[in-house]
Amino acid sequence: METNLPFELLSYIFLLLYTDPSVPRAKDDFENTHKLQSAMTVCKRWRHIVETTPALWTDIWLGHSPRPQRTTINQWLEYVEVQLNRSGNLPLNLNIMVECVVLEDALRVLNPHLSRCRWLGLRGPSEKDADQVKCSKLSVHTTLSAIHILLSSPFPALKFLSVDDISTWRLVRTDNDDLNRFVFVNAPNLISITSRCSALKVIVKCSHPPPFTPPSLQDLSLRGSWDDDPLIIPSDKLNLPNLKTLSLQTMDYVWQFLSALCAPQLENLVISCSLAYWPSAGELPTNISPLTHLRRLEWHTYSDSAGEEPSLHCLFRHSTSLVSFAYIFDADLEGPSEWAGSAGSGSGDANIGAILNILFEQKAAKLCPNLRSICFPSLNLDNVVRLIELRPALERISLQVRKTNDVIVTGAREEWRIKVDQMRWIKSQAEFVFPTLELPVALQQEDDVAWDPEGTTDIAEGV
Amino acid sequence: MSAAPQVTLESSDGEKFKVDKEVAERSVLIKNMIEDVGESDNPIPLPNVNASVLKKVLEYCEHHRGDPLPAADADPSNDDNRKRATEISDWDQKFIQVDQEMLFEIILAANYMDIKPLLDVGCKTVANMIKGKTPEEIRKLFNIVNDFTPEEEAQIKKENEWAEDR
Repeated sequence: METNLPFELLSYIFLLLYTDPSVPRAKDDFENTHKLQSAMTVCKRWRHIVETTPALWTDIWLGHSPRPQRTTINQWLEYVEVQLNRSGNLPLNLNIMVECVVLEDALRVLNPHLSRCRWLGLRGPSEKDADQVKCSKLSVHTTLSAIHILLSSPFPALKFLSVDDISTWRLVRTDNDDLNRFVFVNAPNLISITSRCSALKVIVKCSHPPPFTPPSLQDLSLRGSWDDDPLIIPSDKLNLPNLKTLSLQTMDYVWQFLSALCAPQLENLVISCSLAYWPSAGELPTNISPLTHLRRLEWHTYSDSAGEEPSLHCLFRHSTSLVSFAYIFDADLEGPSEWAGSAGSGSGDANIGAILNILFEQKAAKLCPNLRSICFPSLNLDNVVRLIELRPALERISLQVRKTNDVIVTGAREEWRIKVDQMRWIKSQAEFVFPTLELPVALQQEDDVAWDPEGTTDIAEGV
Repeated sequence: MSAAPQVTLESSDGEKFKVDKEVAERSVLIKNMIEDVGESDNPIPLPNVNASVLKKVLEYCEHHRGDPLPAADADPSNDDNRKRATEISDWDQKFIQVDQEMLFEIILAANYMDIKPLLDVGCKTVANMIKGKTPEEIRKLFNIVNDFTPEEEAQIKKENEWAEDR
């Protein structure tokens, strides 16, 4: 092999082997570094090829050391500097675990290379890492300052920016107003922003002129923090002509945000703000731009949320092209502690009923005539049948769970036959998706409906 | 119905292969040669590919004759043009089950004849052979001599010590 394959072919093999073409990068550990170093110890030629193939060195990971007991931050930074130099002038994918490095030190090494950063991820350590690795005892103030400095650099090549929920770990909110302000990222070519940090608003104070709302943006995911949401509401019109996907989480001011938004190409909207104050029909803004291209609406909530109906009704009215609607109960939505664990555990029937009523209304059917896919936490078979009858365009109905009495029918055989027939009819009309339960084999069952005449089977036993 | 146009290829050891032009043109090198010199009855010489390797290469080209051709400017170092090492179709996997010498000959021929999909199959196969092996296992597999001096080895070990597995 040594004599057979020329440099460029061996280099290409190493690229296939040691780099990950996926974006955003999933790698968050030293596995790749270790593999590269392993390849470099095979022979002098391999070492030379690995060292002089820039594309092998473009994923930079700055976090805790794999061997913290042996490694000093200076050793780490020396290695990062070597990596950066070996990466030549290629675009960089930079992942920083901000709570484990002294960013001020790291910035000295990173600064000359930030202009070619293509992917930037700021994140806290995973729960596992936080347990295993002693993060530096960094001052919150110092770290936030350094993040501000880092993000104030121009990022002309940046396409993907991801900020995880850093505050989960150490960066609890500081009283320093300067550091609670927004960080404006000068990245005119951004395609995707994912911001899950409530202590650090990386974007979007949209009163600020471009490039903070770059027209290239296609994917925007924002997480608010209830109490200071007004700060992230654009005071002027937010023009994002190429935005395809918008995700808003944990914020009270969804409608204010949507009112300011002008995103004519928006195709996917994800709202995950179950605790928000939802306006009544009379309070809803009237100046919403039409969401003429919106095709998929995902609404994450919990079983006891309230007042969502007018908002959803309004969204349906503005989304003439909607083909998919998912109303989802999330078990892990942020809520007051007394509600913890209630998400998904309650039946949420009142909520579901209210939303269902919109879809049942004859006039409402005209609002989203192309709706082909619906996801609900739970519906009984009667309602599924009614939905299909009222909305012939429906091709797919999925449920997070089925009603217990649709899984196992107790009592008269006729009742069971009716449910089985309903199931068959539904399946003949549309794709019907629900979690499959392993039912006790002793029970008679057809089309995922079992009959338990004695009514003695606990459904949990069959799961 | 007229027969499909054919061309003749000549291997380095003088063997001639008459194949459909469509099959031969899976090779960008041959396609360009035909375009440059025009159609001719003269065999196209391939001085870097012997008959046994050319036969294998043509078997691949025949099987993939209808596939869409990769973009001319596809850069293998570009992320968007690169697929994961493990992605090799079933037929290609069986095709490339050859001894190591033939595998490298096929890779070199694909590189010379500019047949990008075949080059990918060969390189991905080698990558999969390397995956998960220690340096010593790799040396043994490919008969590579460890040409580091003891001092260099010690130095490498020292350099890498800090980044070893947890």
